Order: sequence, then C-alpha cells, then structure tokens
Amino acid sequence: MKQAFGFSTFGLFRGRIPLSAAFFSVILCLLLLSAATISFLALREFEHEVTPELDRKAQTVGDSVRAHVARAVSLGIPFSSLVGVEDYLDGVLAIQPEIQYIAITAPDGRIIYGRGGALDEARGDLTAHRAELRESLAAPDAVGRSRIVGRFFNTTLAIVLEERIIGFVHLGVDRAYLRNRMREIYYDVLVVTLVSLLVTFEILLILITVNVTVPIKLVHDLLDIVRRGDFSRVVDIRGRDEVAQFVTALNGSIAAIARRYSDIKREAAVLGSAAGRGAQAVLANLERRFRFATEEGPRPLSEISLVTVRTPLFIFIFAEEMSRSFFPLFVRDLYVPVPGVSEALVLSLPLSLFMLVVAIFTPVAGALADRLGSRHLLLLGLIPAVAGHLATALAVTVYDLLAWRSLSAIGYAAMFIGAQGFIARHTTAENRAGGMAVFVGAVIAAGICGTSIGGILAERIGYRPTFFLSAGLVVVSALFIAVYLPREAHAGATRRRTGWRDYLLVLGNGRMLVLLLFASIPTKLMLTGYLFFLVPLYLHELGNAQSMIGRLMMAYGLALIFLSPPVARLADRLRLHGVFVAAGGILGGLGAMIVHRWPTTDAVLIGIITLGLAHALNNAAQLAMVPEVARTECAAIGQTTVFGIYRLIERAGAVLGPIVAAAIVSRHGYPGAMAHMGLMTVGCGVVFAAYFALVRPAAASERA
Amino acid sequence: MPGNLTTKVAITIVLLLAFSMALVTFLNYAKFARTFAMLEQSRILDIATEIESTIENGLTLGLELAELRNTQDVIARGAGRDPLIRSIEVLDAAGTVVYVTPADAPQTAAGLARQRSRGGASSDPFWTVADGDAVVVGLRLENSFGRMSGTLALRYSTAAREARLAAVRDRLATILGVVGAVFSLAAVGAVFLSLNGISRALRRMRRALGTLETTDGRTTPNGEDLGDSVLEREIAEYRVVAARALRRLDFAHRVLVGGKRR
Repeated sequence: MKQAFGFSTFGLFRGRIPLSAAFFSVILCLLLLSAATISFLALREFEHEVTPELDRKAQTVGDSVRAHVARAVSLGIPFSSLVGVEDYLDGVLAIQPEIQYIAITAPDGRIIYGRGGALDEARGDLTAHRAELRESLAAPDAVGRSRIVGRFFNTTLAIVLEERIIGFVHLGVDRAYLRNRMREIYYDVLVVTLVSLLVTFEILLILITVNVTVPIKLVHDLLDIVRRGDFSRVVDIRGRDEVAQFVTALNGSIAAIARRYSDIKREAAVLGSAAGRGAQAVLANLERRFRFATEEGPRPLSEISLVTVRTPLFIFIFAEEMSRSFFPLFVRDLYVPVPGVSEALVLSLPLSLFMLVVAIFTPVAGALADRLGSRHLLLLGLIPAVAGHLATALAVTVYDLLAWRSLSAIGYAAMFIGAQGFIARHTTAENRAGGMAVFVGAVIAAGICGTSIGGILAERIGYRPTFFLSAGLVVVSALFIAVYLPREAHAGATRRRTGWRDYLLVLGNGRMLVLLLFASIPTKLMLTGYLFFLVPLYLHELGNAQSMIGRLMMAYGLALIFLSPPVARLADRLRLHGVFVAAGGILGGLGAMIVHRWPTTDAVLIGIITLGLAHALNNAAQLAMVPEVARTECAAIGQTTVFGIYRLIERAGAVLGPIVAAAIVSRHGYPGAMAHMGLMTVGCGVVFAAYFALVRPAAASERA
Repeated sequence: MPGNLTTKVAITIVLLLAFSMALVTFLNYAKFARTFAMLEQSRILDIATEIESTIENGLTLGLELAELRNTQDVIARGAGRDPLIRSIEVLDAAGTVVYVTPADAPQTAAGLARQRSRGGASSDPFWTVADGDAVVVGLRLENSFGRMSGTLALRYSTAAREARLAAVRDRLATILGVVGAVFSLAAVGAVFLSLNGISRALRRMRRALGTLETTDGRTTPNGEDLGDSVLEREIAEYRVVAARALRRLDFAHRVLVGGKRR
C-alpha cells in the first residue's frame, strides 16, 4: 500500500514551488519577521525605561567615588598626588560591569586619574565636551548630570570640598548596554522561532494530509478504478470543506449511475421474460463492460495515513523532552540527604527507574496493543502520562517523584509501542522502513524542539510550571489522537510469546552477546548516564543558564538528525556495519573524555556533538548487524522475537547509565565521571572491534 | 473545525504565530524585567556595601557593634541616599537589633536573617529576600578575624519598579496586539493566495460533476472550464466514461421500455 503523506495535491497547486515549500517559506518569513519586529519595538520601550535607571546607578557609584576622593583631599593630600586611586577605580569597575570607564578630572577638564576598557575611546570625547560638562555643574551643590558623549551615557559629578569644586568624576555607561544584555536572549528567540516553525509544520502536515492529500489521492485511485468501467466504489469522506464537497459530488455522480443501473435491473426483474431477449442482452452487455454497485450501495474506498500518528507522537515526545535539560537539577531541588547513600546516586534514581519501567512495561504494552488496537492503547496510555507530569510538578520529595515518574514511564511505553504498532499494521514489508522513518523523524525532531524550549521555559517560569505545560501538551496529543487517529478494525492478533528459552538461544550466540555487551548497552549507557544525567548537572555547575543547557543539549539531536541518514546510507553501501559500530563507540567515548583535560562548556559541547555523531554511526549499523549476527536465531524464532530480545537487553544500558554515572561522580566529580564513562566506552569499542576482527562467525550461522 | 479549507489552515497558522509572538514577547520582557531588577538591586547593594565597609572599619579597631556610636548616623546617611530605601537595620551576632533607621521602622530583618541562615546560605556575601512589595538585602558584618559580628539588613521598596514594569507590560500588550494583527492578516492573505488555486480547481471539478449528474447523460456535459492539472484531466476522463455508461444505461432502458410495450 502506497502511503499518502505530505502536501501532495496532484497538480492542483499551481505555484512554481511545491505547496510544502511555499508554506514553509511563508511561515518562516512570518515567524522571523514577527519575532524581529516585536523584539525591535520591545527594545525601544525597554531603552526608554532603563536609561534613567542606568543614570541613577552611575550617580550612586560616582557618589561613592567622589566621597572617597574628597575625604582623601580633606586629609591634606594634594588632589593630583593621591596614591592608589587607579587601583581603587579598578576595584569599583570590577564589581560594576555596566560602567565602562571612570575618569577623575581637574576643574579645567584634564584627566588626572582614569580606568576602564573604554577610557581611551572616551578620552577624546570627554576633552571635547569638557566646557559644557563643566558649565552644567558650575554650582558647587549641583547633582550629577548625564549626557551622551560618543557612544556612552556620561554621568558627571562634581567633587566638592568646603563648597569649592576641586574636580569632576565622569562615569560612562555604554549606550548599547541594554541592547547587549538583550542580545543574550536572541538565541532563545531564534530557538522559539525554529520550534514554532517545526510545530506549525507538524500540525499543517496532519491538517493537509487528512483533509487534502489523502482524499485527493483516494479520488485519483477511484478515478483509476472508474476508468476501467468499475462504478462500484466511492471515496470514504467526512467533513464539509471544499475537498469534501468535491468528493461528495463525485460520490454522488457515481451513486447516481449505480442507482440508475439498479432501477433498470429492478425493472427488468419485474418484467421477467416479458422484457424480451433484446433487453436482457443489453443488460448482459452492460455488465460485461461495466461493474456497478450491488443493492447495498457502493463500497467505500479509504486509506489510513501514518501522519495521523506522527503528529500526536511529535507532541507527546515534545512534552516529555521538555524536562530533559533540567530534570537532574529538579531532582536535586527535592533532594534530602539519606545516610549512607550519596547525593549523586539519589539524583540518578528517578531517571533510572523511568528507564526500568519503560523496559518492563514495553512487552505489556505490546500485548495490550494486540488486544485493544493502537488507538485505545494510546488514549489509555496518555492517562498515566498526564497524571505523571502533573504529579511530578507537585512532587514533594525524591521518593514520591519516583512513583510519579513511573506513571510517566508507563505512558511513554504505551505511546511508543502504540505508535510503532500502528505503523507496523498500516505498512507493508516494502514501505515499513519508510514508515519507521516517519516515527524516528518525529521522535528526533520533538527531542530537539522539546529540549531547547523546555530549557528556555524552565529558566523563565521555573521547573514545576514547565511540567504543568508538559501535561497540557500531552492532553493536546490526546485530542489529536481522538480526532484524527482512525478506529482500526479489531486488531485481535496475538503475537508469539517470548520465553526464557528464546533469551538463552539469542544470548548463546557469542557474537550477539558481544554486540549487546560491548556496543548496544554502552550506547544506551552513554545516552542516559552521560547525556541525560551528567551533562545537565555539569553544565549547571559550570554556570550555564538553563536555556543555554537546553540549547547545548539540542546539539545532540541536531547532529543525529543531520548525520544519521548519510551515515546509514554509507554503512549500507560499504557493508561495513561492524566498523561503523566500533568507530561510533570509540568516537563517542573520546568526545566525552575531552572534558577531563579542558573542563569547559565548549568541551562539553564537543562531547555532546561527538556523541550525536557516534550514535549516528552506531544506531542504524547496530540494527543492521542484528539479523546478520543472529541469522540462525532469526530463522529459528523469527526476526521480530530476536529484535524484541535485543531491544529489551539493550535497555539495561539505559537503566544502568545514570546509576553508573552517579557512582563515579561521587568519587571523581563530573569531569572525572565523564572521562571514566568515555574511557569505558572506548574500551568497549576496542573489545568489540577486536572480537569481530579476530573471531570468525559460527559455522551454523554462516550456513544459515 | 470550520468548513473551509483556507480557514482551517489560516486559523492553525495564526494560532501558532500568535503563540510564537507571545513567547517572544515574554522572553524579551522577562529578560528586561530581570535586568531592570538587577540594576536596581546592584545600586542598592552599592550603598549597602559602603555602609558595611564603614561599620567593618570600626569593628577592625576591636570595638563591638554597640560601641560604634557613629553607626546610627552612617545608616541614616545611607538611607537618605536613595528614595527607595525604606529602612536599614544593624543586628548583632545574636540577631538583636542594635541600630535601626528610621526609628519607627518595623524590625523584621532578624527573622529573615535567621530564616536565611537556616537555609544554609550564610557563607554567601549577601542575601536577598522578597517581602511583600519590598526586598531585604542582608550583608554579613565581620571583624578583622573573619568572625561574624552581625548583619546589615537594608529594606528597599519595589513598588515603583513594579509600577513601571506594569506600564511596560501594558505597552508590550499593545505592541503584541498590533503586530499580531498585522502578521495574522499577512498569514491569512498568504494562505488565501496559496490555496485559492486549489479551491477554484475543486469548485470547477464539482461544477463539472454537477452538470453531469443533472443532464442525466442525455447531453454532453459542459467541461470546457476544467484546468489541465492531473486531477482535472482525470475528472474530464471520468466524465467521458460516466457519460458513456449513462448512454448505455439509457439505451438499456429504452430497449426495456420497448420490450414492455411489445
């Protein structure tokens, strides 16, 4: 079955570019222009408000400076021979980042003392304006005056001793101070714009696919059937829009022909042989040339689009990933010391438990999907997911948080299995890979968007409100499922139960065991232990804001989404999956180790990107290796069962990741833990490479 | 959802555009509000730090807080330096208020200082606690041996800042409304232009099918206005096939009626 997907309109859209590109361009322009316009107008408002505040600040600092100078001069030290003034000014500037320079001038405007990175730049302007600066402060009791001098707001205060002006203090604040401060959020604005673009596109995708692409494709298919003289089918359509009205007209036209045929046939039946041989012959001729609907009416032609599950999945994963960049920090806020258990270990527990519950509930969800169908499983699974997010937002301690995260994990497993099952049921062997790409694409895109926007929101509104928003998004996801996901004919099918003998069979294959222990498990270990647990905590320790942590972690998803397709194609073309798996392990480990030598944010970012690249090398290649390595087992118990076992055991890495990381952090700190985990992964990659290079496949597997 | 395709798509885009613009406005405002509050706090902190260093100079001489007779004048002068400052309290190590200005100011700093020290933040150079429409800034007073001798607590009003922020919020809401309206109109226009061709083609095809149905196959339906898109060509073909089928059915009917007459 060919899937209708995207914005295809069978030539009805007459633009020079495809409809999807037209929408993408228009929405991108609207989002960027609106964000730029709002930011520009808001900045003008803010500058208007902040300028007097900067002036007051400069006056307060200047007031202290002039008081110190006046006190020193009052003790009899000549104004031009004060010792240590510049050191004192350095000290003041060090704690006043808004102030770019401080200059102390004689009454005639000569600069006697001055400090600040922008002093040389301002010197000329100060000298040029000295007459008017002096004039504005001619009275000994004059307060500070501010005026624009070059690119600075210059505040000048008179140094007065015994009612006589002995000099002036000039303080310069960069006029672009606020603009520079606001620049820090422009990355956030850009992220919001890009995320809005992706979300808009996801929602338009389902809207246009369901309302335009699928009905029009069905019309196209129906017209193909009619061309062969078959008037027995109509398009299954709901709604009232232009497409629905057109399809209804087409259905009506076909139904009218079918009705006319039924009427004639009924008349002929009533007449019986009286109709004569001629009429019977004409009817027989008609039936040879055309096919008409039976008495029950035309049969509906329908198609289920994978987009109907992609959009709710995207929104659900988006909601889940919103806490990715701050979850360990949120747990730390709830932490209460437990005697004998390290803080890091307690912090790792909610993450590990989440992964454990996902692993345990996955087979249960699979069985439920078989019995209830995807739609019901997804709707049921969203209940614990919403409850989990809401309760997490209200969590009191780490221990009740464990229960709430378990609820979220049940929802997560149900969503994953429900969506995967839906795709599996509505694709064939030929287009299943394409269907799964829809699934993986939605998950990665949602991961990128959720992680970045979650960090931005958490920084502004806090952790708990962000969890409330996640719960709201899961409800939106449920609405999409309820409205768009079609009811499936009873799934009913039951899958073969996996028994312990199957596990023994798979694990008895040495190469499979090595693939699991030295490639797949370390991959998941790094994902949850390094990326999900250590990275947020360490980036926070390095002083990064929450939004920055989200943006940095987003780099993993970006690396994965851009590199995975070409790397997977290359691995397939070269047929060197094992080499790619080993290279991925070694590369990811080396990336994580960098931070031990350079404990900086940049080094962590390199580690994150390298991990993305490593997993791009790893993920597809590992999956491709499973049927190669376990040919005998696949033949014996089926590829699906082997993959199920592989996936379950692989998840052990995800469960253990945070716990292993926590155990190392307690002894070696964050950079040490990252380096140790990296070293361990490099070691696993080397063992994997050595084993596969040196040990030949078993004869049985080769024969199979 | 409304019945028109253009309306459906336009509403979706406008809603998400509005969400994006609201979030961008919020990000801008939140950053500004934080910068504004930080500037105000750092100005007050400058005054507090200066008072702190004056008092600590006295402590360095070996005097106890209660013996520093000029402290009352120092805090009174400090309080006069900024109209936002509501009160300044100096507490000894036990948390007892030793000096306060103005004299009738409510003495609440001791409780807040104790609350902060329970929170384990006592090693920080200063602490701040929001208290209604005011913020209290606290600084540790140490003698020359680094021993804590007391706390300087300065309470300043945030009411003026909040009022100004409220005014900024109002103006931002206006900006958001105007910019939102302009871009929403642009979005609706762009969607209309993008989908108008599709809607027209759908109307053309529906009309062509309608003609076919009402003519009952007796006359060749008028389909000259159909375009040359894949689907319109297919509809044109359909009309030919359907007309042929209808003619055959008419013929069968005529034969049937003829047989009946006979």
